[in-house]
Amino acid sequence: MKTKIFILLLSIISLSSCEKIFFEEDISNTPINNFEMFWSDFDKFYPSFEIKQIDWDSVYRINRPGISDQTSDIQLYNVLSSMIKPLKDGHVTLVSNLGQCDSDTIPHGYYSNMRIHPQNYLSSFGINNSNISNWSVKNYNIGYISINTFDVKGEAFVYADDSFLIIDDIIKQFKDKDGIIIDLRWNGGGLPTNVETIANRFTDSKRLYIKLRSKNGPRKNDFSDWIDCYIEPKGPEQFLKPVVVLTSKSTGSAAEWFTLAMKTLPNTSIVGDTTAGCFSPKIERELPNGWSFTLSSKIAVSAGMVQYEGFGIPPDYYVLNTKNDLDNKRDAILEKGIELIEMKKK
Amino acid sequence: MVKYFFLLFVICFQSAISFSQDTRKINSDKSHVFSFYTGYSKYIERDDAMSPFKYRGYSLPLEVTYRHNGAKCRQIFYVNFDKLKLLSSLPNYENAGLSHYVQNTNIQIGYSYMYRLFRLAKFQTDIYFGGEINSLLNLRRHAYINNNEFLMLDQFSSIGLKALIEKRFSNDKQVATLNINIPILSYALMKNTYNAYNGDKIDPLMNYSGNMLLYLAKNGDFVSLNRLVYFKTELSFIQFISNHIGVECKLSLRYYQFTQYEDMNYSKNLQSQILIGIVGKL
Repeated sequence: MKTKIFILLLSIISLSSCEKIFFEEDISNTPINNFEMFWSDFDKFYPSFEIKQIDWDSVYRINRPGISDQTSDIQLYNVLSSMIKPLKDGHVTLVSNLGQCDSDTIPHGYYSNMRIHPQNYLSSFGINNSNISNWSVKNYNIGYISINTFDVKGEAFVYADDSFLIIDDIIKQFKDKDGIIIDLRWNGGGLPTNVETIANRFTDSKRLYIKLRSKNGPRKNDFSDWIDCYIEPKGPEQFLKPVVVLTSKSTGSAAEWFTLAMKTLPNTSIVGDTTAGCFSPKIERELPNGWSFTLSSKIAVSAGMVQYEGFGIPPDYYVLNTKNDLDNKRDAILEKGIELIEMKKK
Repeated sequence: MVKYFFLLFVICFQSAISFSQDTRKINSDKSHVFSFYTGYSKYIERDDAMSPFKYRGYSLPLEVTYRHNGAKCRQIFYVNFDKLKLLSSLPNYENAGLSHYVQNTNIQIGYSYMYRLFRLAKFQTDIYFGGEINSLLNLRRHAYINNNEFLMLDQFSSIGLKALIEKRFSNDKQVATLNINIPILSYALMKNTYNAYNGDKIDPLMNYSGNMLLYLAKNGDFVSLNRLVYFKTELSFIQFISNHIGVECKLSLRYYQFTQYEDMNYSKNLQSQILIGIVGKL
């Protein structure tokens, strides 16, 4: 019996000591290791250095000498933040216990992404849920749809969300309108599948709207083949009359996919400001000190191979709201949208 | 935890004694053996596509096994289930939305058939050799900033070799076994995954509105030892208390290393379990 117990104990000890055989040690938490991992993950995964004309090797040469084992957390945070700021990418973020550094391009005092008293312009609140809602425009036969997000709660990579199918009821309600204004000025993105659920209700044929390719290897030119994405007519009916899409610098990611999709349609105009210019899905990586950062992982171009990544989609009609508009409860961007639909009606 | 195992042992033994009635020989040539186990499971995993850091966790696994002991063969069917939260050594800053964890679900189903190759009568030991088909699903929800989660998975359906050494002790109420299974050919999903959003299998899912798992299942690849190093070994000891009832203690170790991307990214997973089970024999 003693032998059996001995064998059993020996086996338990063997099992519990297997970790060192099969796994390498985690990288230790030192300022140098944090810096090196941050730099090399961007070097491996970030696809847009060339587009943004940033020499990442020189970023290393400039910043690495300033890092030592005596570098404090706040010094490290400042160095890493300074490395990503020039990327001007809404999908690049450093999150730490000391704060969050975003690499986006929204300037201070930017009013075009403010909600300017919608009650001055809108009435007859209609069908809605937390993602999408609709109204009629006061004094005009125009529908207004606000899409706050294309995301679903809590998940970064899931199937299409059925809540966006509410668009079929909205299209039915608006079928006699002269046109529809779709407001994306506060929409920071979400899932492409939800983008297509909405855009499919505005097209009369299958249209290529975006092409993507992935950074799929560590070398600078490791990219996948282009992946084509289409919209096509879906749902009980489609709205084919004039549509105006309102955009701002806060219109990002999947909301930009939607803007590109709508740009392929003959009856659609884009009004407002240039969008954020961050089309790619973002990935997250971790550092030994527990901080995390996100970065883009793909490159997107329009159907006509125009590169909007890093630049954003320019509107057809460039209109900005100012501080003065805000004070006077005036939404110049929405007014331009109404004007365009009224003009096309004639 | 120790109290729990002690209690479990007491329950097992009491049940066994209460069922013990008849005195026929236990290790008759043909029998059907059912086992139900639970115990202690330790997990370590590292998924380079998601994070370069190890995640560890402990849980209470469940396993059900059916064994058919033929005159010259052994057949084993098993289902093993585990659900647990894995944590890393990284510091968490929950106020900043930084919680580093992985929600892990593990299901493994297998069937093996082995034929007796040798009988070492002097040592009351038989050696069996055969094959196993099994399917493994390791589903992981990696925490993302602000408690969002990102789904990753390893799924292999494999066929491989299995060897079993079975030793009966002189009183014929004790049986010890040692087995090892090495999958040789596997149908694996998620080949060529470079990171969370990029890879041969993930890229087409960018705007895919159908069932993601079904899509992945249809688009797997056959891989062998060059991409998937995988083995499972078990050491078991059964103490029969009656002709029909026994208690089993089993140590299990499973490891796989799947080459997600060239020779750079690996998904590594080590599962070690100490299982205690009730055994019923017909």
